[in-house]
This record gives sequence, structure tokens and C-alpha cells, in this order.
Amino acid sequence: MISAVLFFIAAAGTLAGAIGVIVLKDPFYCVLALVGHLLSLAVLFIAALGSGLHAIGTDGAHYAAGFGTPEAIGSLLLTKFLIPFEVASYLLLIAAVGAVTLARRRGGLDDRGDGTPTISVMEFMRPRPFGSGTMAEGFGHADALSVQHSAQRQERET
Amino acid sequence: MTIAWYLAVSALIFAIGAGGVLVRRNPLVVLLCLELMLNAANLALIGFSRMWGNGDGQVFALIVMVVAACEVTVGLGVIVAMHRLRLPVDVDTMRELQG
Repeated sequence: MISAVLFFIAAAGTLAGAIGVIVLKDPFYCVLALVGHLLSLAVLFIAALGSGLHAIGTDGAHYAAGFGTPEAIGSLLLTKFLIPFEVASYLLLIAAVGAVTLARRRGGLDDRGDGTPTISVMEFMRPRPFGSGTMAEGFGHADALSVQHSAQRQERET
Repeated sequence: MTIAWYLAVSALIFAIGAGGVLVRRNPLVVLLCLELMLNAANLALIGFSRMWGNGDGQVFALIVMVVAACEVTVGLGVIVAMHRLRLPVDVDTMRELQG
């Protein structure tokens, strides 16, 4: 009974959040509506786990002890679904690296010269200027390093 | 309580998300609407998992959440790259794939 009440409250919140996402003009308020939607959805998941769901005309499954606890899900993830779990971890790693690559700041260093910035695989193969992309550059010492480097090269040539 | 209620809510959320993807033009909001559709699928998965008393559906829902996180990460990276290239942040104007 309590889970039914919980269900209707959470369902109203979920639907209101979903409508808010597509109706509001400002993307910031859209994200806020999505946060409300997700919170209501969490309550809805709890209501689903706590209630005896059944198809129309049947009795439904019994509530087994430990069903839906983190312990049960964790042991499933590490035994029966170990390979999907590992694949998901690699997927997360690839997505993180891809996002950093896409959102990387690429002004200045690898402009083609005609002012048109590009996204290309070849950019990653091009040798970078000495001292760039290092910790030294992050601390602002890259200029000193490259000046020192060119001075050394001039000495070697003369 | 029958599972039909949960499926109805799930279908409504999915329809709202699909409508948002079709209607909205800001790519950020399109990503949010994709998230709505994945959440609707998760709700149906959790409901069916409870109905059968089987934990597999919950693991499936977790994996769907992981995939949703990856998709949003890459989508945000693309939007940031679009912003850097000073392209208009509007899905209607992105008609070609050559940047």
C-alpha cells in the first residue's frame, strides 16, 4: 500500500521533470528539471523493488530475501556478468579519453596557418614543438625551455 | 499492483523524450532527452526484473546507465569542440560531416 502511494507521487514527479526538460527554454533549467526527474526516478525504482509487481492475472514472483540489495547486484556483476562488467569499464575509459581528445584546446599549436582549425587524426602524429604538452609548459616554463633548446641547437650548428 | 502502471509511466517518459529529441534544437537539450529515453528503458527493466524476481534486469539497467554516461561524455565533448570552432550550437544547422 505504501509502495503504491510512493509510486504515484514519484511517477508524478518523474513525468513533471520529463515535461520540464522539453518545455523550458533555458538549458540550465532543463538540466535542473532533469535532476528532479532523476531523483523521482530513484524513488520510483525503490517503489518497484518494494512492491510485489505482477502481470495482470498472475500472482507475480515472491520477494526473495536480499533481492535488489547492493550485495546481490555486486555478486551478479562479478560472477554471471563479469565480461559485460569489464567491457563496460573499457567503454568508460575509451569514452573519457575520447571526450578529452575532442574537447582538447587546439588553438595556437596546431593551426594550419590559414586560420581554419581542423579536427584530424593526423594532428596526433605531428611532432609537437619542444616543451609543449609537458608539465613544464603547465608551469609556464615552456618558453624558457624552447629558448634554451634553440640556443643549444645554434651552438651545435656553429 | 500490476506492472502495467510502471510500463505506462515508462512509455510516457519515452514518448516525452522522443518528442524532445524531435522538437528541440539545442544539442544539450537533445542529449538530455536521450537520457530521458534511456531512463524510461531502465524503469521498464527494473519493473520486469521485480516481476520475475530475477536480478539480471537490474544488472542490465546498470550497464545501460554506463552506456548513457559514455554517450553524454562524448556528446558534451563534441558540443565543446563545436563551441571552440565557433559553429552555431544548433542541430538544424549541422547538415554536413566535414566540420
